Amino acid sequence: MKPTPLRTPFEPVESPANPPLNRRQAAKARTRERVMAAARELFMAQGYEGATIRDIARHAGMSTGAVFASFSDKADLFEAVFGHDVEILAQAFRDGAGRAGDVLARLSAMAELGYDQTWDSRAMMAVAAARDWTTPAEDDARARARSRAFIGLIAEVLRDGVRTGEIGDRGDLRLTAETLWDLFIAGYGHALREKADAAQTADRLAAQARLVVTGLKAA
Amino acid sequence: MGQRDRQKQQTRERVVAAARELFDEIGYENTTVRMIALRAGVSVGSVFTTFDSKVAVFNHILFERFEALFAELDRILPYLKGSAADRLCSIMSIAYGVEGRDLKMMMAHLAASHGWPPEIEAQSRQRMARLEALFRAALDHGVTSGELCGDLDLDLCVEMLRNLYLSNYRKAFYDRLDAQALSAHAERQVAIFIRGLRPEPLTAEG
Repeated sequence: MKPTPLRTPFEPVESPANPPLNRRQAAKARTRERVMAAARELFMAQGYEGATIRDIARHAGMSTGAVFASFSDKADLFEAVFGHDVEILAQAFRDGAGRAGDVLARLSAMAELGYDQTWDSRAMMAVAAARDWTTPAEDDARARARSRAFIGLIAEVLRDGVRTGEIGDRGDLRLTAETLWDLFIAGYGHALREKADAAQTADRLAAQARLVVTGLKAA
Repeated sequence: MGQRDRQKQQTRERVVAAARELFDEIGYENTTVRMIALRAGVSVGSVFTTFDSKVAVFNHILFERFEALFAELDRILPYLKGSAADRLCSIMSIAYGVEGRDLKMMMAHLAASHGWPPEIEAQSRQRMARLEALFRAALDHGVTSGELCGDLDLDLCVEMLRNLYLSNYRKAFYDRLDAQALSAHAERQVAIFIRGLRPEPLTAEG
């Protein structure tokens, strides 16, 4: 069966303006890039709370004020940095879900491509997952909307399986999709702790997906 | 206990109580040692004579919580009956009942787990290992009784249960679930985990 075309409500990535930049704008864009690169390194090394704007500014070789000229606060900066990873993961998930095959094959492809494409940012993914509950409400809402979009992609694949009769629906597809998403995210932390590589992590998730899909029950 | 020790003990208890309140009200990250001292009515210096750092206070509170959790689990375990799913659900439900009391502590614990000092990280892992051992025992029971297939990958299953158990705290926080709702959610997850999504054998062949 042909997979359902997948749509997701991801926010578009903020891309540099299309018209040619004047010198001032170009300088501003460069500053932004530098701040983001420094922030990425520090977030990954020290976690969200551990990385201060002061440290990030110093790491980027500029003043704290220069950082604030580009980003309103740390949450805003984190969002800009992490938004890039999210887009990459979203594309990987869409590609994986678009593969031919049964539910497990498509879920495994999503895991494989997902981990592979975001592997260099795995610490960023783990940091985002662990971000303090004290994040402002709007960031919280953003994080939730993002999770929902990924869960929706997984749910589409499961629904295809129900349509073809491959799996049954006992009214728990959404919960199953949520659970698989949680397991996918937990995989990053596990990989960091165990120093596993992307392929091992994907295999491990595929094995978990297999358990979820086939069940543990003795035949 | 001499008067000095008694005083020290009192200070310690006050510091712990103040820290517990603050962590719950404004979160671990936003709480400073100064604020803890102020709330406890002691000097910043006194806080540091009882604990090395804010992390040490936090770890002490976590330790107490885990002790309470395992006391409760030890009390209930001998009475656990039924299928692997029943046992797993009971364990999770007890855990959520104890941990869910201060969800924010748990969230702060999980949030801060990136960058814990190594000794605290190690302790944290040890505690999680105790919970994992319980999950494993429940699965073992299922295998022995023939309820679960004999060739299942126990390590993988335990890891999955652990990840589900922990991820659910975020769910609880997002969706404002209390311990009971959280346990119900975990119960549905465990049901899927145990029976899978395959159609019944009859309908699959039919």
